[in-house]
Amino acid sequence: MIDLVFLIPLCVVVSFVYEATHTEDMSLILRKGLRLSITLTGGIILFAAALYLLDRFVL
Amino acid sequence: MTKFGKRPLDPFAAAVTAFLVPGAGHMLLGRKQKALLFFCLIVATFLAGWFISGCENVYFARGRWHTLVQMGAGVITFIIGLPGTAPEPGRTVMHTFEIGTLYTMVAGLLNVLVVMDAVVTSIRLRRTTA
Repeated sequence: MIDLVFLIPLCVVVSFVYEATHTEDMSLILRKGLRLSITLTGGIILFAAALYLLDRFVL
Repeated sequence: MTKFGKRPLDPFAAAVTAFLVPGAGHMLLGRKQKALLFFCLIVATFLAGWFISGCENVYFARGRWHTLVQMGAGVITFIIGLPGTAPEPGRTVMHTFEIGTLYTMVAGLLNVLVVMDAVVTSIRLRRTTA
Protein backbone atom coordinates (compact mmCIF):
# COMPACT_ATOMS: atom_id res chain seq x y z
CA MET A 1 0.00 0.00 0.00
CA ILE A 2 2.76 2.43 0.97
CA ASP A 3 4.48 1.79 -2.37
CA LEU A 4 1.53 3.42 -4.11
CA VAL A 5 2.62 6.76 -2.58
CA PHE A 6 5.86 6.50 -4.56
CA LEU A 7 3.85 6.38 -7.77
CA ILE A 8 2.42 9.90 -7.27
CA PRO A 9 5.65 11.85 -8.10
CA LEU A 10 6.15 9.49 -11.02
CA CYS A 11 2.67 10.35 -12.33
CA VAL A 12 3.45 14.08 -12.09
CA VAL A 13 6.67 13.65 -14.08
CA VAL A 14 5.05 11.45 -16.72
CA SER A 15 2.13 13.92 -17.09
CA PHE A 16 4.37 16.92 -17.70
CA VAL A 17 6.70 15.11 -20.11
CA TYR A 18 3.73 13.65 -22.00
CA GLU A 19 2.07 17.05 -22.37
CA ALA A 20 5.36 18.70 -23.33
CA THR A 21 5.80 16.27 -26.22
CA HIS A 22 2.31 17.09 -27.51
CA THR A 23 2.13 20.85 -27.05
CA GLU A 24 4.36 23.76 -28.04
CA ASP A 25 3.04 26.52 -25.75
CA MET A 26 4.69 26.46 -22.32
CA SER A 27 1.76 27.81 -20.31
CA LEU A 28 -0.51 25.23 -21.94
CA ILE A 29 1.99 22.49 -21.06
CA LEU A 30 1.96 23.55 -17.41
CA ARG A 31 -1.83 23.81 -17.27
CA LYS A 32 -2.55 20.53 -19.04
CA GLY A 33 0.29 18.76 -17.20
CA LEU A 34 -1.11 19.85 -13.86
CA ARG A 35 -4.60 18.70 -14.83
CA LEU A 36 -3.35 15.29 -15.99
CA SER A 37 -1.22 14.80 -12.88
CA ILE A 38 -4.18 15.65 -10.62
CA THR A 39 -6.32 13.15 -12.54
CA LEU A 40 -3.70 10.39 -12.27
CA THR A 41 -3.06 11.12 -8.58
CA GLY A 42 -6.79 10.94 -7.93
CA GLY A 43 -6.86 7.59 -9.70
CA ILE A 44 -4.04 6.26 -7.53
CA ILE A 45 -5.75 7.46 -4.34
CA LEU A 46 -9.03 5.83 -5.40
CA PHE A 47 -7.19 2.62 -6.24
CA ALA A 48 -5.43 2.65 -2.86
CA ALA A 49 -8.76 3.29 -1.09
CA ALA A 50 -10.39 0.42 -2.99
CA LEU A 51 -7.51 -1.90 -2.04
CA TYR A 52 -7.77 -0.84 1.60
CA LEU A 53 -11.55 -1.42 1.72
CA LEU A 54 -11.20 -4.77 -0.02
CA ASP A 55 -8.52 -5.83 2.44
CA ARG A 56 -10.48 -4.57 5.45
CA PHE A 57 -13.98 -5.84 4.71
CA VAL A 58 -13.92 -8.53 2.03
CA LEU A 59 -10.71 -10.54 2.22
CA MET B 1 15.91 29.92 -41.64
CA THR B 2 16.26 30.13 -37.89
CA LYS B 3 17.12 33.29 -35.99
CA PHE B 4 20.79 32.25 -36.24
CA GLY B 5 20.53 32.15 -40.02
CA LYS B 6 21.34 28.42 -40.24
CA ARG B 7 19.31 25.34 -41.11
CA PRO B 8 17.88 23.52 -38.09
CA LEU B 9 19.78 20.54 -36.68
CA ASP B 10 19.28 17.38 -38.74
CA PRO B 11 17.06 14.66 -37.21
CA PHE B 12 19.90 12.18 -36.58
CA ALA B 13 22.02 14.75 -34.74
CA ALA B 14 18.93 15.84 -32.79
CA ALA B 15 18.28 12.21 -31.79
CA VAL B 16 21.87 11.58 -30.70
CA THR B 17 22.17 14.76 -28.63
CA ALA B 18 18.71 14.25 -27.10
CA PHE B 19 19.69 10.68 -26.18
CA LEU B 20 23.03 11.64 -24.62
CA VAL B 21 21.70 14.51 -22.50
CA PRO B 22 17.93 14.76 -21.88
CA GLY B 23 16.66 17.99 -23.43
CA ALA B 24 19.87 18.78 -25.36
CA GLY B 25 18.20 18.05 -28.70
CA HIS B 26 15.45 20.56 -27.99
CA MET B 27 18.01 23.09 -26.78
CA LEU B 28 19.89 22.90 -30.10
CA LEU B 29 16.58 23.18 -31.97
CA GLY B 30 15.83 26.45 -30.17
CA ARG B 31 13.17 25.08 -27.78
CA LYS B 32 14.93 26.26 -24.65
CA GLN B 33 12.03 26.15 -22.17
CA LYS B 34 11.04 22.64 -23.21
CA ALA B 35 14.69 21.56 -23.04
CA LEU B 36 14.98 22.84 -19.49
CA LEU B 37 11.72 21.12 -18.50
CA PHE B 38 12.83 17.78 -19.97
CA PHE B 39 16.30 17.99 -18.43
CA CYS B 40 15.04 18.85 -14.95
CA LEU B 41 12.25 16.25 -14.90
CA ILE B 42 14.21 13.34 -16.35
CA VAL B 43 17.47 13.88 -14.47
CA ALA B 44 15.59 14.55 -11.20
CA THR B 45 13.55 11.35 -11.63
CA PHE B 46 16.67 9.33 -12.39
CA LEU B 47 18.61 10.72 -9.44
CA ALA B 48 15.61 10.36 -7.11
CA GLY B 49 15.34 6.69 -8.10
CA TRP B 50 19.05 6.18 -7.55
CA PHE B 51 19.00 7.85 -4.12
CA ILE B 52 15.89 6.12 -2.77
CA SER B 53 17.37 2.74 -3.61
CA GLY B 54 20.42 3.50 -1.51
CA CYS B 55 22.57 4.49 -4.53
CA GLU B 56 23.04 0.90 -5.69
CA ASN B 57 20.48 0.13 -8.39
CA VAL B 58 22.43 1.40 -11.41
CA TYR B 59 25.18 -1.02 -12.44
CA PHE B 60 26.20 -3.10 -15.41
CA ALA B 61 26.00 -6.84 -14.86
CA ARG B 62 25.33 -9.90 -16.98
CA GLY B 63 21.59 -10.56 -17.31
CA ARG B 64 20.52 -7.28 -15.70
CA TRP B 65 17.97 -6.12 -18.28
CA HIS B 66 16.92 -3.14 -16.14
CA THR B 67 20.16 -1.39 -17.10
CA LEU B 68 19.17 -1.53 -20.78
CA VAL B 69 16.03 0.45 -19.98
CA GLN B 70 17.92 2.80 -17.63
CA MET B 71 20.40 3.51 -20.47
CA GLY B 72 17.60 5.44 -22.19
CA ALA B 73 18.42 8.31 -19.80
CA GLY B 74 21.76 8.76 -21.60
CA VAL B 75 25.21 9.62 -20.30
CA ILE B 76 24.09 9.82 -16.67
CA THR B 77 23.56 6.03 -16.64
CA PHE B 78 27.17 5.47 -17.68
CA ILE B 79 28.54 8.03 -15.22
CA ILE B 80 26.72 6.35 -12.34
CA GLY B 81 26.61 2.78 -13.61
CA LEU B 82 30.17 2.09 -14.77
CA PRO B 83 31.77 2.49 -11.31
CA GLY B 84 28.73 0.80 -9.69
CA THR B 85 28.71 -2.83 -8.59
CA ALA B 86 25.90 -5.28 -7.96
CA PRO B 87 24.82 -5.77 -4.32
CA GLU B 88 26.57 -8.84 -2.90
CA PRO B 89 24.44 -12.01 -3.05
CA GLY B 90 22.61 -12.70 0.20
CA ARG B 91 22.85 -9.12 1.47
CA THR B 92 19.51 -7.43 2.10
CA VAL B 93 18.97 -4.34 -0.02
CA MET B 94 16.77 -1.41 1.04
CA HIS B 95 13.03 -2.04 0.74
CA THR B 96 12.83 0.86 -1.72
CA PHE B 97 15.31 -0.81 -4.09
CA GLU B 98 12.63 -1.96 -6.54
CA ILE B 99 10.68 1.31 -6.59
CA GLY B 100 13.98 3.18 -7.10
CA THR B 101 14.74 0.92 -10.04
CA LEU B 102 11.27 1.69 -11.41
CA TYR B 103 12.00 5.44 -11.15
CA THR B 104 15.27 5.12 -13.05
CA MET B 105 13.65 2.92 -15.70
CA VAL B 106 10.75 5.35 -16.19
CA ALA B 107 13.30 8.18 -16.58
CA GLY B 108 15.02 6.15 -19.31
CA LEU B 109 11.75 5.44 -21.13
CA LEU B 110 10.65 9.08 -20.90
CA ASN B 111 13.90 10.13 -22.53
CA VAL B 112 13.12 7.79 -25.44
CA LEU B 113 9.87 9.74 -25.87
CA VAL B 114 11.83 13.01 -25.72
CA VAL B 115 14.28 11.72 -28.37
CA MET B 116 11.34 10.93 -30.67
CA ASP B 117 9.87 14.39 -30.06
CA ALA B 118 13.25 16.00 -30.89
CA VAL B 119 13.37 14.06 -34.19
CA VAL B 120 9.81 15.07 -35.12
CA THR B 121 10.51 18.71 -34.17
CA SER B 122 13.66 18.71 -36.29
CA ILE B 123 11.85 17.25 -39.33
CA ARG B 124 9.02 19.77 -38.95
CA LEU B 125 11.43 22.72 -38.63
CA ARG B 126 13.42 21.62 -41.67
CA ARG B 127 10.23 21.32 -43.74
CA THR B 128 9.09 24.80 -42.79
CA THR B 129 12.50 26.37 -43.48
CA ALA B 130 13.11 24.49 -46.78
